[in-house]
Amino acid sequence: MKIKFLLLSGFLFLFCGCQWFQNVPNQPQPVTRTEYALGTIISVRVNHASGEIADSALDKAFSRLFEIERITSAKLPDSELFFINQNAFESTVIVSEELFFLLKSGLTYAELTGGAFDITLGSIVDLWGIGTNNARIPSQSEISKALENCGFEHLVLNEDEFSVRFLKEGLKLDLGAIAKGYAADEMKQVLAENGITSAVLDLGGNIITIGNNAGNGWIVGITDPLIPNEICAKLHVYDKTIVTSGNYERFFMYEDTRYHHIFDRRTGFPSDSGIISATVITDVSMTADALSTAFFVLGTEEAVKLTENLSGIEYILIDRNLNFSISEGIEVEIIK
Amino acid sequence: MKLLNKRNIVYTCVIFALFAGCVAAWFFIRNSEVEEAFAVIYKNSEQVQSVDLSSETSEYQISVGSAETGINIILIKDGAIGVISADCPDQICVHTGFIKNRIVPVVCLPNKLEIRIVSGDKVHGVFDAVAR
Repeated sequence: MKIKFLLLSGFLFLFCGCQWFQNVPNQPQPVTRTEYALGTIISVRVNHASGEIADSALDKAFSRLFEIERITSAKLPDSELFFINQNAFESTVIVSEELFFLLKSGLTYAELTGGAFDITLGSIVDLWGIGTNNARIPSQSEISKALENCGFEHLVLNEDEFSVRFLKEGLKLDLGAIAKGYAADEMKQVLAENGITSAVLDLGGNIITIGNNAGNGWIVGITDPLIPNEICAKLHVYDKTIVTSGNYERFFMYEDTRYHHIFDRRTGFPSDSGIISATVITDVSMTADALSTAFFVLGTEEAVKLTENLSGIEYILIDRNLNFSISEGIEVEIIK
Repeated sequence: MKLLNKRNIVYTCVIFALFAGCVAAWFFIRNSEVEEAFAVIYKNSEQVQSVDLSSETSEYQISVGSAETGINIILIKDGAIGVISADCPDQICVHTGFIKNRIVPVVCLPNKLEIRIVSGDKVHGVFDAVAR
């Protein structure tokens, strides 16, 4: 009797166990890929039950990224943007529809922000050389001269023939402040079109998310601008992009002064608006990229005023005294 | 045939308790796996070396680059990695200090060098990503 019972119990045990393991859903597994592009590290993590589908989607998304880099890089000698910078003063240059869209978007953001965001500051960026071996503090006369060659009003776009023309000889375009955002939007779209419903993309610190993470929101930290190895705030997001502009990413120190890479067109110097970290949370990463730069340059008061006329834009602004200005539409947990 | 006697009920309870214990243990082990810290060093967009920080117990240095491309001296110690000297003008890579998680990479833009922790699902504890 006892043996029969034990056999019966054992069978029941195995049966239940098999049923239980069978009922465990086919869990999505994370697949991460990291590549170097647009002058930074791009890391994408997708969650999908099929590694094959995840790999295929990642292949296509990264191909798209490299396509965008070949168009928008100001440094690659064979890029479309490089060609424009070399030739658009001498003659009208016909460009691809994609680059035209980016330039037009750049002008729209410049007008929206009163020039706080400006894609024509290439001469100032080159002059300071921040983040390169040639980083230095230029003389005031050099800065004044370079500023004469800046300004989005000197860039003329013709939508009928997708052409570009510079009205100033030294004008130089730099799409660094929107290219990563645009690439993030495009990679997100490619992943979504290829069956990915859950992913987080990190383009050199620009974050964009797809869907949710196993039913929960994605938990995104905001870098502490004073101690960049640490986090100062966190938020939960679904299908959002989070872009931060800070003075701690590219800079050099001279006599206790930090010279960083976000320039104020009005002065030709690194922006000194009081903001040391500007984060924008919205749906379109290119918009977040442009506005985070603009907010950094504008300062808290003007940035907040600007958002009053915009919808769907949330922000976290941190000034040099570590005062946080946070929009009402987003829940943020301040960690310190 | 008195299958439902007191002793058999006790046996059944014990067997199911064992089964529940196995399931609980499986969940515990799965969720408490120590996250590996795996650092990758990139130079000029290309991976030059990877280091499994979670298994490294010795302290050692790596020199990356040349006089033409810029030199960074990297130190691995105590499960962390960082640049201790560089010939770049801004020294941001040295000031970044040592990293052992994915919050921020160590970056030397003048020398086109980047050190990044790449393993694990979570960036640092609860974070899926960090905006910077």
